[in-house]
Amino acid sequence: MSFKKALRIADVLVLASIRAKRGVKLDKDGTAKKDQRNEKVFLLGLPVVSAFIYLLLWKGNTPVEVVTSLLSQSLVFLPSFSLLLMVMNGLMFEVSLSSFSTSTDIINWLPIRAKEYVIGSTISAVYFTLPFLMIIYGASLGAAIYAGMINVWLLTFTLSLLGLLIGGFAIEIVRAALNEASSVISKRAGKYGQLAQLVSTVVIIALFSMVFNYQVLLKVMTWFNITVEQAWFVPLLWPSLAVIDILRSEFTGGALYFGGSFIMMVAFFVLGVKARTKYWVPAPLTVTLAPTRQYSNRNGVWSLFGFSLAEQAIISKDFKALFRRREMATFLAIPLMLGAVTFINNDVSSLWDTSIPIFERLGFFLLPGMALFILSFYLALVSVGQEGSAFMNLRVGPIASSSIVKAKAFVGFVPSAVILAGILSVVGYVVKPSLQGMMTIVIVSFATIIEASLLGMVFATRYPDFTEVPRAKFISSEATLLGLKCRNTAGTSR
Amino acid sequence: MLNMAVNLDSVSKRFGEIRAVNALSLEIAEGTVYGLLGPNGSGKSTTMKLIMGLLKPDSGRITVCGMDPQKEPLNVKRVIGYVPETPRLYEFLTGMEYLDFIAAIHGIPTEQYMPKVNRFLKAFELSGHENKMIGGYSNGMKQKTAIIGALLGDPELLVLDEPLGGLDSKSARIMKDLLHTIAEEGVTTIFSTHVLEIAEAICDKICILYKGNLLTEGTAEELKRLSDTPDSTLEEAFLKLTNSSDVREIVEALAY
Repeated sequence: MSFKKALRIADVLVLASIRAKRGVKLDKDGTAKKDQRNEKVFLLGLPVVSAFIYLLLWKGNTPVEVVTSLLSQSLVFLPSFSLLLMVMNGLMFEVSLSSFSTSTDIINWLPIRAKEYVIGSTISAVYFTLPFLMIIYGASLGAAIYAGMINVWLLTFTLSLLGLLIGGFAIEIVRAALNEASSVISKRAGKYGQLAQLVSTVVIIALFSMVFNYQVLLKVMTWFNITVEQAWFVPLLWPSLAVIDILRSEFTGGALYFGGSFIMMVAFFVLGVKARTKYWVPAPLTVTLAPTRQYSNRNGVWSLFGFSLAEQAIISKDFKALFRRREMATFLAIPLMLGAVTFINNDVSSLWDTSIPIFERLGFFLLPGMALFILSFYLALVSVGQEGSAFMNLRVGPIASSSIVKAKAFVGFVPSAVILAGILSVVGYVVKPSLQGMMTIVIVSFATIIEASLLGMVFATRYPDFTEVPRAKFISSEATLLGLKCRNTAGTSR
Repeated sequence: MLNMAVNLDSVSKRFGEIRAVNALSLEIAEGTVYGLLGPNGSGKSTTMKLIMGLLKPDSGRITVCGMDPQKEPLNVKRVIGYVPETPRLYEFLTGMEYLDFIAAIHGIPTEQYMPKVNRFLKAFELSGHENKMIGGYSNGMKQKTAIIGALLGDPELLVLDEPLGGLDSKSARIMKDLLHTIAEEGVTTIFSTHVLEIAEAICDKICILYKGNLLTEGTAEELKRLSDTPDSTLEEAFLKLTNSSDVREIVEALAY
């Protein structure tokens, strides 16, 4: 096995991912520049953040006992968190890139060993996860120096790196298995397979986004520290259990868990190599869908809203895109993520507590309501750009631009409207506002998502980005910023 | 007197410094299969997009079936079937869903397009693949689907940019025969190609474009005579007219 070759593979995978995500910046002579943001954060994150946190604690004269308590919890959580983040990052990579940039079969025909590919792929995944973690490691290092727990921090840091590798190798197994499973499911299950894929993608994206919500993270960390010891039989938690034992000066247990973690990493590597050897990269699959209806160009349900046949065709096509294109799952995850955050951060039983003023109980639905506003806005914002080069089909067709805009604004509105109807039913049933109040809520909330959809269309029609390769962009970055500013202003005014 | 399906009168189009089409005048009679020939960058695709109304000419006048594509874009698009050089279809739709979508955009009734779709699917050997996602199609299958889509609305004018590129030989033959058949019914076809044998085999009239200018126009036989050599081929005439006759020297230089 050539480690040099593995590093070259990692280099190429990193470059491909960076360019797919951030585009290619060129020098004056047209040479592609190397984007080194990750390296900078990686190198500066640890010293800068640790110094900052240390000074903050020192300046605030924070009691050491307080720091020790919170730091101990963090140090126990960090190795498992690193592993989890690595897995989530890997899964996100799988679901977020367009098929254009991910469908490569070069490793099928280049002289590369599975071992080399697994190591290269894991290093490239670590490259994207480590900079964010370096900031967290830096914060914990600053606190550890202040609390005199540098030895435990060093152990945690080592175990976290081990956790990263375990996560990286695990994701290789998951990827190979997922590719195989999704091929089988998509071929056999058709649209149900697609639905399963969509749901799992939306859930993964929602979970990944929640990892970055500090309130959720604090709750999970507290819960983790209480329950982790009862789950000693789960190997993925051994790095954290090693830290717990070391903190309690139970060195034998700590050494066993440490050794166990190391063995697990080797085992995952071997399994990753075996999975890649067996499945390697699957051939692109062809999905067959059984038609749901007899094809008929007659007015359907959307005609009730006054849409012409051609507009109905665009609406129907765009809904198919929403539920079949992987890139669109990101937008569908927004309400799920913000809804979950609402449930985690609030006491649900307070909704039925009539001693609390109605206005406060309605506050529970503020975040999910915002999520629908954002969803409506984004679906409209990307609606034109998501056509990509296939926009030609509309341009050469006998259809007026106003019809395209009408149809697309409607597609931006409907998903939010459906969820909103559900939320409003819950509001009416649980909170029981007065009839006048309920009518006001209904009118204002529907008007808000219509407004969001139309606002999105303003920018979608003016600044569409039809780029598809290496990654679908949908809308120019300037328009996203401008649109967000307008969206926030409009949202706040509500 | 022949009715003209397409008329270009001193049409010019620039992209910055590049003059893509320069004072181009063409008259294409109804029911003609008209070939646009020319090397890369000669202005073939730009000319087609101007006819489609997708580009606005800087100067000159274009008439398609008696209409100005800039003034009556929707009416012009109703009578045209267009297949671009690289068909971009919706990869998340199945072939049948795509054709259903195109039919709806053109407002073609089901009873009119379904029998036609089934006939074309069978002819192009796509039957059995119509419920598969387009994302899994080969380039040739995508090309065939785009061609079927262009033919769905009974167009008066077919604009085909390199239409036979991705097709297997059987499908290419079907396409050639089909163009002749529909030409007899009065449908006009404009198509560009680099394959001179194809142009010679199916075009009633050919024009050669070079750097946005019209070099010459005529039947294949008339163009062959322009090379001034006995038994010359259309390829020799084309290379001579486009100043590319030094290819032999280039090949020899490359070989050493």
